[in-house]
Amino acid sequence: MAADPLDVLRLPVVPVDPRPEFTAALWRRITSAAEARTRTDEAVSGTSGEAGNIGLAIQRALDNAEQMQAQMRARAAAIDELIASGALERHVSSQSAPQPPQGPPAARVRDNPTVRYFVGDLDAAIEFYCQRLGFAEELRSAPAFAMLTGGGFRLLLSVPGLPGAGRPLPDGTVPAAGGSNRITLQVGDVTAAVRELRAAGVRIRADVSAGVAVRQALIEDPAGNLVELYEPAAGYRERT
Amino acid sequence: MSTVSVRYIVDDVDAAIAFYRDRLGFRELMHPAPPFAMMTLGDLRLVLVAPVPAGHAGGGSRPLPDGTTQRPGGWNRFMLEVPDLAAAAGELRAAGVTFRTGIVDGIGVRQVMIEDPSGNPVELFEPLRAEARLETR
Repeated sequence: MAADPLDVLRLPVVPVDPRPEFTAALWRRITSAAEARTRTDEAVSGTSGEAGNIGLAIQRALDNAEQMQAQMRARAAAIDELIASGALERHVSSQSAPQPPQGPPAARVRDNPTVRYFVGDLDAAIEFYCQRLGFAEELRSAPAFAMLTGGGFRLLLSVPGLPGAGRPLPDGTVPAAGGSNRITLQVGDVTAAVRELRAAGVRIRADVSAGVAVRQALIEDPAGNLVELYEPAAGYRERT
Repeated sequence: MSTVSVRYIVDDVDAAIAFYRDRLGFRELMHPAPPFAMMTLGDLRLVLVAPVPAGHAGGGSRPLPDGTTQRPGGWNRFMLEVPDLAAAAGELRAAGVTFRTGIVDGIGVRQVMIEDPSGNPVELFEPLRAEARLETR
C-alpha cells in the first residue's frame, strides 16, 4: 500500500509550536514519505514519473502542514485565552460547587507533572531511577542536573551546592535531599515490587502496609529521598 | 484526569486545601477525613496528609517503622509552569504567601519558590528555553 505523505500530519503529536528539532523531524518524515510514494507509483506504473513528482507531493504536504499548523495555533491560542480567563474552568466545573478565585495566571500541569528531587550523587540517582524504577534519562547536564521521565513524571534531579536549583539561598541555606514529601508510583503488585527492590539492595524505609484504600511501601533513593509505591487495595481502583 | 500522584505532609489539612485551591488553582477531589485530602491540577494529583499516630487507619503518614515522624518541609517539590512568573509572584505576594526565594534566573527557567502554610516548597517556573516548557502530547 502506498504511503500517503499526509499521514505524517495525522500523528497524535500536533505541531502547535514546533521547535527546530521537531520541525526537522517532521520535514524528514514528509520527505521520506513523499519519496516512498513516488517510488511506489513508479513501481506500479512502470514509468519514471515526472521529475516534479516528489517536489509536488512535498509542496502539497507542506502547504497542508502550514494550514494545519496555523489552525492549531489559532485553536491553541483560543483555548489558552479561555483557560486564562477562567471560562473553560468554569465550564468544566460548572456542575460542582462554585470555585473561589483561581491562583496565579494559568498555573498549569500538563502531561508530565514535574517534580524536583535533590541528590548528592547524580550518577547514582540516575542509575537508581532508571535501573530500579524504569525511568528514562532525557537529559544529563553533569555534574549538577539531570532530567528523567517515568511513571508519568518528569523528574528533575539537582545537586545541592552546585549551580542551578542546588545553589544556596540568599541567606546561605543549602538545599538538601530527604524530607517526607514524595512522589507516589502505582505498581501492580507492591509486595513483589518491594521484594525485588530489596533483593537489589534498595533501602526499604517502610515495608508494605495497608492504608485506607491502598497497600503501600516506602523506599529510599541513594540520596535518601523517599519514593512511595502503592497498589490499590482490593475493591478500590484508580479514580479516573 | 490525574495521572501521577505526589504526597505532601502538612500540619493543617484545611489550611493546605485553602492554599492549594485559592492560591494555585487546584481542585478538591476529596476530604473524607480530617488528616487526608486529595487535590488535583491538570495531570497532577496532590495528596495532603497530616501526620497520624502509629496504628491509625490511614497508612500514608504514620511514623516510619524506625520511629521517624513524617514532617512537612524539606526541599523536594513539584513545579508549576506559569506564563508570567513576575505577575504570578506579584499576586501571590499580595495574597500574603511566604516566599522562600526571590525570582531566580536559572539555566532553563526563571523560577521562584513559595511555601504552603506548613512550609512545604512549591516551585513556580517560566520557561526560558523550549526544552523547559511542558509539552502536551
